[in-house]
Amino acid sequence: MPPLAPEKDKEFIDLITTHQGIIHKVCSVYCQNETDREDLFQEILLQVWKSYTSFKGDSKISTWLYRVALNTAISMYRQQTRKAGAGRQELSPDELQLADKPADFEFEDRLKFLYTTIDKLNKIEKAIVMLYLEDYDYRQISEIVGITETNVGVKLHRIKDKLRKLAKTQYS
Amino acid sequence: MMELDDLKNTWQQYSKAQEEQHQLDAEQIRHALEKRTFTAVGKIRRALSIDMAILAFFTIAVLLYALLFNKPMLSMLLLVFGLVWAFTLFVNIGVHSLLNRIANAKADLKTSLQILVKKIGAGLRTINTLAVFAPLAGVFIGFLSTAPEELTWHIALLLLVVGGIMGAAFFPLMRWYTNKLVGQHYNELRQCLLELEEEE
Repeated sequence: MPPLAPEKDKEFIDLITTHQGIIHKVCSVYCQNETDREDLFQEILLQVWKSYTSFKGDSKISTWLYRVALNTAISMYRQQTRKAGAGRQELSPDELQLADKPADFEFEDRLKFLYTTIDKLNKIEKAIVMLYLEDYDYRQISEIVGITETNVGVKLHRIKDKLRKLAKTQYS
Repeated sequence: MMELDDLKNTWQQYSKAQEEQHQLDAEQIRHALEKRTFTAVGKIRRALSIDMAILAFFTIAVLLYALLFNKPMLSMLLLVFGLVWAFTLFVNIGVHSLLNRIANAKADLKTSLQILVKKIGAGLRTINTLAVFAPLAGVFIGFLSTAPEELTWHIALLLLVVGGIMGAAFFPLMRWYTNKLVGQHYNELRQCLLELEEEE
């Protein structure tokens, strides 16, 4: 790992400390268990470190970070293991509990439904839906993913259709 | 009925809570970064050492056989195994450098995938081509450096046939090996790219 200059190093650590939420979110969407999440988190960190010197500030830091994180999550080589087909690890009571708030069963239900849906999407759809849930508009999504705004719209429409069908199956 | 827009709030609430729970401090970030570098290098070393150990076993066994029972073949075998070692090292280093080329921060997802798929595809084609030509070249080099007689058209043709047969036998083996290593990964990436290149 090539060392960065001390001031760049501090800048990098500050950047990750402030924006680490983005990396955690990408990991939770693309990985179904804690070990994989940790593995991907470290890999994204390494890729961000490697690309940090080439970041010229042409785009917003969060957009750039999403780009690197999603690129890494989609392209990362994972050895095929028996664990891969095991499905998502059940969300723990701690995870389901919102900080300082009493148990909210409706929230739990919606969260479980959201993750069940996300797990059924392909890697590209996961990226698009995640950015949409983060309130990114079509233009920003198209900038990160590299497709036209119209295409983003088409894909989101399909995702919403899938979600409706899933909801119908689940609640019928 | 639950709609995607209704889930935005759930997602944002949950992400915020998760961020608070998993917040890493500067020292933990540094540690995670260092740990990953060692893991990545370790993985490559481990993969290389397993392949190399198997190859070393066969090399030693064949050379011992030549040394003890068939000394005239020794120089020829040394040359052949030298070539096999060089080729295997090239394939291993090539495959692992392809696997570790992940993100292109300057590019969007589609461009980055296009570059990656193109590079891995070219790498796999090079390895497959070399798998056919390496035995052919090995047979010719082996003959030229050890045979007492001149290379005539008849001998060249014979070597071509022998090399061709060896290449044809080696090719499916190498193809199986590279497919096992990167085949599924490569197909997944191509699938993602197709999804992005799909007509609107």
